[in-house]
Amino acid sequence: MIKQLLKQIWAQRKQNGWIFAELLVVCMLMWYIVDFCFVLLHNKSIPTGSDISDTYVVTYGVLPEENSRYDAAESDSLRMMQNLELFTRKIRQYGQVETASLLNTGWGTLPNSGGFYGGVIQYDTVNTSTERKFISSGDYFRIFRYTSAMDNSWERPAGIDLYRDNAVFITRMIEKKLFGQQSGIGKKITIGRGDNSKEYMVADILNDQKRFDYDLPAPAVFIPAEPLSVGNMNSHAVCIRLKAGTPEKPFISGFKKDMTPSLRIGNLYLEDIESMTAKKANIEYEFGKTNEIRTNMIIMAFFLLCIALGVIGTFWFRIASRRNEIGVRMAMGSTRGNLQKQFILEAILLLTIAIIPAICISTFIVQADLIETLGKRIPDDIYITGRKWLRFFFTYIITYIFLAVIVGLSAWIPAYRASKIHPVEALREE
Amino acid sequence: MLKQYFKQAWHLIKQNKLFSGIYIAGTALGISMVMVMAIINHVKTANIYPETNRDRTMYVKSIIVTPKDTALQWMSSGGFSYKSSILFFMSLKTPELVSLAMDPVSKFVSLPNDNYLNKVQVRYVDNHYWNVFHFHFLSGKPFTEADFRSGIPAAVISESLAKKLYGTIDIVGKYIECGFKEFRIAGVVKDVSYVLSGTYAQVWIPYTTNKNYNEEDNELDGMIGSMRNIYLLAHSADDFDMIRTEVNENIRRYNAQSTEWNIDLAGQPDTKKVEVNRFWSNVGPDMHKITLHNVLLVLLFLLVPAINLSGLNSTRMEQRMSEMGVRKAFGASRKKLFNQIFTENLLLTFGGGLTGLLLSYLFISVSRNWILDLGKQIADILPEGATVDFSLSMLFNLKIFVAVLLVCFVMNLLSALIPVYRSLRKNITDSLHIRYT
Repeated sequence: MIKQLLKQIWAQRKQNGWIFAELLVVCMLMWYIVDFCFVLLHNKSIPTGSDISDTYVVTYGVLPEENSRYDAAESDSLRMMQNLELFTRKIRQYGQVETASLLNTGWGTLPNSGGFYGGVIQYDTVNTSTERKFISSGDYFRIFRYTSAMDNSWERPAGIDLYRDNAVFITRMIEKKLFGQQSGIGKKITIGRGDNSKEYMVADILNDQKRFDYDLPAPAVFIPAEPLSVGNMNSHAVCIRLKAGTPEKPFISGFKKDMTPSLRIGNLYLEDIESMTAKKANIEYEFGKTNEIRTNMIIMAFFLLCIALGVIGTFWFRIASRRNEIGVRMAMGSTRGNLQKQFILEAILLLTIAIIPAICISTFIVQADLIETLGKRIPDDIYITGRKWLRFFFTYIITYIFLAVIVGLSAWIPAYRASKIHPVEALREE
Repeated sequence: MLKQYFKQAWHLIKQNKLFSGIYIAGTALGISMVMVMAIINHVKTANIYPETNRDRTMYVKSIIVTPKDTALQWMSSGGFSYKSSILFFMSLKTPELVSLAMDPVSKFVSLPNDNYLNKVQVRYVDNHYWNVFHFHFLSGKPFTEADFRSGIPAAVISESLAKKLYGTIDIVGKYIECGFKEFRIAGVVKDVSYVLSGTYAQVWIPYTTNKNYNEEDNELDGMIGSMRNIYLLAHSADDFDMIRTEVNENIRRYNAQSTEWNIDLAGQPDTKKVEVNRFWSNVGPDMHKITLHNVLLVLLFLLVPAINLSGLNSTRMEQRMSEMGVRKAFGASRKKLFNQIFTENLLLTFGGGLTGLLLSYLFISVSRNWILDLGKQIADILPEGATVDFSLSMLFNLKIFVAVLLVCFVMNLLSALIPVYRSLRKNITDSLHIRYT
């Protein structure tokens, strides 16, 4: 069967040449996009380490002195702190709110944050670079639910007071790097370099966390934050967790309506409330990720349409010009299903022939390190995405299956129509 | 003769509905993508309200400061401070005008002492801004140079905001509260579509009303600050080179005098084409790479459908071989036949071109909220209440139509030339011999 089909393809090489050339180009482009999606989905399947559903951030502003409602008596630091506390308490008492807390949110402390504060963490002579998150209270863990690697619960880190013994939490990744197989709990580590370095005690190990959903896990250390003061109140906000499943839109509009007047406390006013999921979507947009995904999807859709049109067109004409052959075959006892199968196989065979040179060219491209995301920026080979050739193998198989479905379907449409005709009618043209 | 070609071609198109359908769809697909690219490029770089001087404006956004001590392996970059923008740009002789502006900020705006707050985009600008950009004032006028110099709180607001707050646009001299400070309304301008995100705002106020606009910290000689948009309006694009030389001379002089710091502008001042690709303050865009990337994309968008069409054409020529043979036998020259088939194709391609153009409009209207951000390394979130409206003049204009025609023609050449030429070269007897069903 295959041999006969190959002969058929060779006999029609002039028309097949065009579709072959198109398949060749599209195979390579498709593979690039399949690889992009593969990495994206792979990374997204790894847990983020936190839970941002039902969480929100409420920000406040301070009236400027020029404002007619500005109250100078409310501007000293004592009053300001009292007002901030009242501001937080009022939010805590609002319906649907489970936990609310005034937390440090500066420098990438919030999950999925655009900000980033890096540093070096050292134990003995081993050191590694890490992201630092500045934690002002155990509520941080009650709200964002980073979990302990010991018992996978967020209650455990939430119950430890980081300020008491100058304690920190490190993620599993850092533990492995600094302590190997040993436990890191209770060990003394140094964070920062030179004059800015400070010693801390590791109080707990947290599960690995990711900065962005589309990234791989990265090391992080959770350090006690500088206590709240008028000087740093700009880098604080009220973080809240709602009862599970509270719908976002009605909550936000209700909150704004109810709370805008009552949160005018002293010189404070309610600036904004935003869900962490919206914040995450925004940051993915700002960092160009959303657009990258969209661009790839548009290009993919375009080339798939091209391939579909090409195969439908070519096969339509071919089948039309082989109507007598179809008639003969049917008269000889070929079923309709057989006929359709034959044309579909012919198309897929054509794809198979085209994908071989495509793989060769792609191999060359990967070998030459021309693709930035493949082979260059590989953090760790514990993930399949970090193993160049294994990933190459998998993504090409996916590409092949994907294209085979499209090509097969496109060939089936004209084949189905052709097989519908009566053998007598087809033979009459002979 | 030409009429004859077209008549014949039209009949053939009608006869072969499937072929024509697939052919037109294939062409439209390729052309629509290229047209989307062309329209985006047009909207981003052509002279469009209120940025009608784009072709004679140069842009500077960022400054890089590195220590002279080469042992220190760091650099710092960001916007210009008031001090550095005055130092490097206010003394320029070639430009007609120099204007400074900060990046837009989002602030609350309301009627004085009202509790109903609107979150809007606010721009801190100077008085020259109103000459660099040609805003259409519906009432009032820009704040004056005197207002600006003495930091008088005067504001220009957009038509839609005026209507939202006061219900009318005749509100010059009345007040609004912006960022909880009172401003007198100096003028009302026609709304700016967010398509022009570089000038989009609802409120424009003098940056001198921002009390710390000229306070720099002492680090880095006070070179870095929040002036992130410096516009150098030239008399014409011919002056660009002279402006570049003049700016570079100012930088060179500073670097020669300073004992501590070196300043670098990473290739700025930019033309609009470069400016739209500059995202980072510490490194300029690689225009060669970007151009190459775009050219490749256009080629792929045209080439892949063209291969498709070539395949279709070659199959069809095969079918029409006997027709060609008969016509040749009766004395039709190869040139004549070629012209005939070429016209036929051109007609189909134009059908495809028109469909493609319509498709690209459809695509843009569906994706207008994000289409202009594709390919940006850093994108801005659509501000609350902003609309991305493409006006008719952005979509229908001569430049774009010429582009469609050109693309159609290229497409036609790509897809018809080889198969038609090849099949016409066959001998008459060969062509007559083939009996294709």
